[in-house]
Amino acid sequence: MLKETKPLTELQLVLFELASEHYAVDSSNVREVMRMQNITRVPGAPTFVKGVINLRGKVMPVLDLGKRLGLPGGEHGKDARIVVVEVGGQSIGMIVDGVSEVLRIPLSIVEPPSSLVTPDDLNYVIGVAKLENELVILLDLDKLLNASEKRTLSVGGRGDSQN
Amino acid sequence: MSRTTGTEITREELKVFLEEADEQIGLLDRDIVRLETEGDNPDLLQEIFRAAHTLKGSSAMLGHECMAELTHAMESLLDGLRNRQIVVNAEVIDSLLYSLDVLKMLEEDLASCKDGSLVDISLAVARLESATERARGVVVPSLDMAEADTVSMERAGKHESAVGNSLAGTDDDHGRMTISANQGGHTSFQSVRVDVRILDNLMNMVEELVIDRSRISQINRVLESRYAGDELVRDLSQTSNHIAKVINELQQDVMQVRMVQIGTLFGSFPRLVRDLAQKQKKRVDFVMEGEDTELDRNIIEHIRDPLIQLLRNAIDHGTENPEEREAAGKSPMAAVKLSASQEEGHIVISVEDDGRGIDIEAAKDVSVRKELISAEEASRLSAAEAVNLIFMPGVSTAERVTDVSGRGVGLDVVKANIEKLNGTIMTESKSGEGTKFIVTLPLTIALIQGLMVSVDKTIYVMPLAFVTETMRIEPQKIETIRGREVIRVRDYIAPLLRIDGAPCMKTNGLSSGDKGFVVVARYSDISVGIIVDELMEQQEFVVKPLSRYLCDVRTLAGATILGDGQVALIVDIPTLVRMSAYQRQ
Repeated sequence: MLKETKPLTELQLVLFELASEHYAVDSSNVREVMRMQNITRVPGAPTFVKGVINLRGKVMPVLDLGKRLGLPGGEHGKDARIVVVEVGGQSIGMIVDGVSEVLRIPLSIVEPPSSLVTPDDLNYVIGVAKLENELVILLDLDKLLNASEKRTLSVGGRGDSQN
Repeated sequence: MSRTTGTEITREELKVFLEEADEQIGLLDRDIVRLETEGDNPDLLQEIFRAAHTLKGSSAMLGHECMAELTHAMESLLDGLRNRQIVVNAEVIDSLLYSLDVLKMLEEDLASCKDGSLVDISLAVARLESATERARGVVVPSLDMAEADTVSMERAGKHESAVGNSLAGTDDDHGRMTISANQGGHTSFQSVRVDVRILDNLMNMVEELVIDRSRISQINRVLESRYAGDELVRDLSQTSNHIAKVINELQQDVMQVRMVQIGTLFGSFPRLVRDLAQKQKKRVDFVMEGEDTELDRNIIEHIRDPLIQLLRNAIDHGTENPEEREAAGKSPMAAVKLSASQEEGHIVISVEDDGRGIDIEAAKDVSVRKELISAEEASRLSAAEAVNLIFMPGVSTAERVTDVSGRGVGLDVVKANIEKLNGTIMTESKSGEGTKFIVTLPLTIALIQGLMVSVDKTIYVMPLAFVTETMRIEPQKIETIRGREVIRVRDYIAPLLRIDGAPCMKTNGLSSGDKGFVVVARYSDISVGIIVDELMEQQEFVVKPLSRYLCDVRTLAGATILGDGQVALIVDIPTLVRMSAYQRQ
């Protein structure tokens, strides 16, 4: 009930960790959080695509979000989770090092990204939220998963003809 | 009764009417053409009469006067045929078909909620009436438009004047017929329209149940061995057995719901063939077989255009005109046969004509001229191989270009569309004797027969439709051609590939070669050997689309979910073969 009434002053976020940094996405995009499970590797897929899993009878791609963001990282520990988000009508899983909490923050503590990150990232970083104990990087899922990927992925693709 | 438009009837009424009209018009579409050859078949006449009559009844109820008037005129003619007062002739058929076209236009206008259709029915009514009169032996001066107008004006004023007394006697009969036709309508067409998306969702849920079912029985087995003799465990296993049975039935029924008789698709073809043949002054005896063959609705939707193209091809290029046929010592009437049947988990649809056959030399010439193959390659092709050149883009051996086919676009598109459905197309042709196109399709695109293999601890599924054989790799049998490894499979050489489409190079070659296997896959006359670590079982797999996110991974046709809930990937063999062919060039 709060989300609709105060969309401009508040953000509801899902916070998670990646390479010892804090990230967050808008909670309205997040469908569920799953434990790590066996992921079927897809040969020929972009390197940041870890593979596909069975999400209640549907085949869902899972990304290594760290790799997608160009962060250093290796094996996923036991706290690793798959955050299932819905972007542009399709479900995508993102592997993160751990999910910490769901948080509501006032927009006023969010700083635009300009001076803090490299221009390359401007595209999908909405801003940085200054919490009491930590800085949280807010990601724009639409830009992160859809716009940029679609461009690179659709080259030579077969499009939707199979649907 | 006034001419009613969308404002006076409810949306629901209109929908019901349109659905019924669709059914009856479809029936007329199919049956009127049959009259040409079976004009004396009383059952057929009765069926057509009833369709026209039902349409008349329901359009009158809706208050659609134009449609009611037109169907009334059709019905009068059909009544005469039914009672043997008149005999079928070309004019009768033409007038009926013309009226059917007008009827379709009226229906279309109604469906698109056009206020007041501009379609003029007067000519159709006049043609029907004049055909009726003439067939009765009453001499009617040949028809012109002015006369048509007066006829229809008279009709508008006074209903029975034009056709006269012969109709009066049948009016009682109409009253009775309405009742019986309606009753027939209610019992024979009990169906519900369901959104395909809902069916797909149902299917997904059933598949999950299937996976859970195998998990439950696994757990059950463990419990049984651990607590043998425990009553509760016994109850559990009984219940889980029962659930398994119900799930099986549920799965079969949901699959069944997706199936549609191919006859629903064939319905409009007789008319199409007739019109094409008439336009080209050819005489064609068109036969359809196996209309009750069932096919997944997804496939039905996508197979329509390819089949139309094949039929057009048969009539345009396959069949000759009567003079040519007689000169060749054939019956002037050409035969075109469309048949469907189910054969071992596949649907086979063939389009066959007894025409002139494919000119293989012409096909070779065109292919060489368009630089699709070299002259030397052309000379090496066997007749059976050369026939399939007609599936190459730009190849057409047609002497002239008609408005429907002959420009060399068509068969390559037909082939591509059929392959998209995991199907194949083949041609057999004998010069002077005819051509046969054989389309083989899976029963459903949701299910495929596949061979499970493992590569690098990942499980893949190879569609069996393309797998010709499997063999153990024997390192001494692997040879190289310019650094690429190939293997000899009997009398031909197949390049070796990996599942990701990468060719096998000698340098990073088969270190694990001694324990591997090769799956030999064949597609459009090219064979490749795909290296795998292990061969596993063959079974039926449910094909799931890969996410759009992965749509550029071209060597995969989809994914499937295994009994343990893991995802396995389905290999797109045509693409793999095509990629291998490009790499070779």
